[in-house]
Amino acid sequence: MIGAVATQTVEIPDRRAVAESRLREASTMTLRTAPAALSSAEATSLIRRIAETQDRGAFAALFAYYFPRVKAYMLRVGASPAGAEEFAQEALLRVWRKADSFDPRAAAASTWIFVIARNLRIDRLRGERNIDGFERDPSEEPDAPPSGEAIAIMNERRSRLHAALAALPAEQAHIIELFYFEEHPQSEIARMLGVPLGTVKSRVRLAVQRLRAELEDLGS
Amino acid sequence: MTNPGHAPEDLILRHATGALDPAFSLLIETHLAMSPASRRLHAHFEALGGALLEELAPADVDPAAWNRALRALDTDGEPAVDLPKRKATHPKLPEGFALPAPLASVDIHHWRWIAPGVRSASIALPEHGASRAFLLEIAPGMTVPRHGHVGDEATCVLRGGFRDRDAHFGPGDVAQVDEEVEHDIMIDAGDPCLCLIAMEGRTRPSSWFGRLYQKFRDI
Repeated sequence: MIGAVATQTVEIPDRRAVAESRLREASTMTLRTAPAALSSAEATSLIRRIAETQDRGAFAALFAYYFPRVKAYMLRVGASPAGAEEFAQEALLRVWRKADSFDPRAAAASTWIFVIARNLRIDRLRGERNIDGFERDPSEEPDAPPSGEAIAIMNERRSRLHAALAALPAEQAHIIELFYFEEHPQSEIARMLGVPLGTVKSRVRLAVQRLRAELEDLGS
Repeated sequence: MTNPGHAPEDLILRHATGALDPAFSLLIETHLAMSPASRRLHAHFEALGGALLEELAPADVDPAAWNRALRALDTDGEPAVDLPKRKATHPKLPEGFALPAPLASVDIHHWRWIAPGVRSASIALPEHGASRAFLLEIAPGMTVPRHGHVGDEATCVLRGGFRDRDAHFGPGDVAQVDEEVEHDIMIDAGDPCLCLIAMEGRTRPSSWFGRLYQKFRDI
């Protein structure tokens, strides 16, 4: 019953082609049940379909998976519910527009989308900026299409990252996570550990050094 | 060649999470441009952000979100063409020295002498933050005497080098201090030392250095 009501609310009458409305309906279905998993290889291929043929079906699948997660990220970093919805919307539109600049050898799809969401938030906090994050040295960007092997390496790297985080003592892993998702990580860490703000810096430095060692141990 | 011991890991992490203000962001982006090892670490931290993003519990979304996205795609014209960027203005720099790309893209004001052998040039940041950034050039062989600091401060060496306590800092290295640190700095012989400094607070470089100088006269 609730499902039927929700379906009606999304059926805004317009003059679009039938095929498109079918696509829309299909993807709203997916959206309501945000997919639990999207492999890095799948995400990579969706983004490349957007880049190559402006494939809206591919965008729908990417949107269904990432929109609720990017919105969750925006909420965690302090956006209001309405703001988070709008920022997530804009972030996903940037994904659409910039799809042809995605290079799966430079970063996994999740990394690329995280960076887009992060930069969008910075832009909005600071007022629009033109710079979209740190620009990599063009000489480091090979221009041949990525091999299956390169993509497999990226996938491998992603699971290693999880392993590196899991290898940290719980307190340090929590400190790292707070950095990504708290608006004021240092005061949150101080509160959590019950230590003065000055002590937080050294604890953070310790956690970061440990994480670095884990990442380097993994040899990725 | 940057010294791996002098990578500001915590600032690199905070840059990757999007938490740095414009002055410290510029400093870290400059450092990253000069240090391949730090670029790798930064990429790891960004990848970790991506991994953590995937682990977040999906938020409830407005069922109309996808319709809005579709409408936006329909009204979306060709991707906006970037307007040709105005060339940034810079003070006179040493012959044969080129600013790393992140610094080259921002306006830097004229040099102002703030003490004998020491001059600074403020950097125009894209927007106001709680911190400021400026270039500092100190004559070779000079000693900046024992001094403390009011807030967090980071220095990225662009050219030349200096010795701080037991460590040497060369191009690309970042020295970090906070209010608890009191130190002398000895500038290398040879070339003047050119640094990028990011510091918390809005203190002007001249009064900042004046404080150091005051301290010097006291001892």
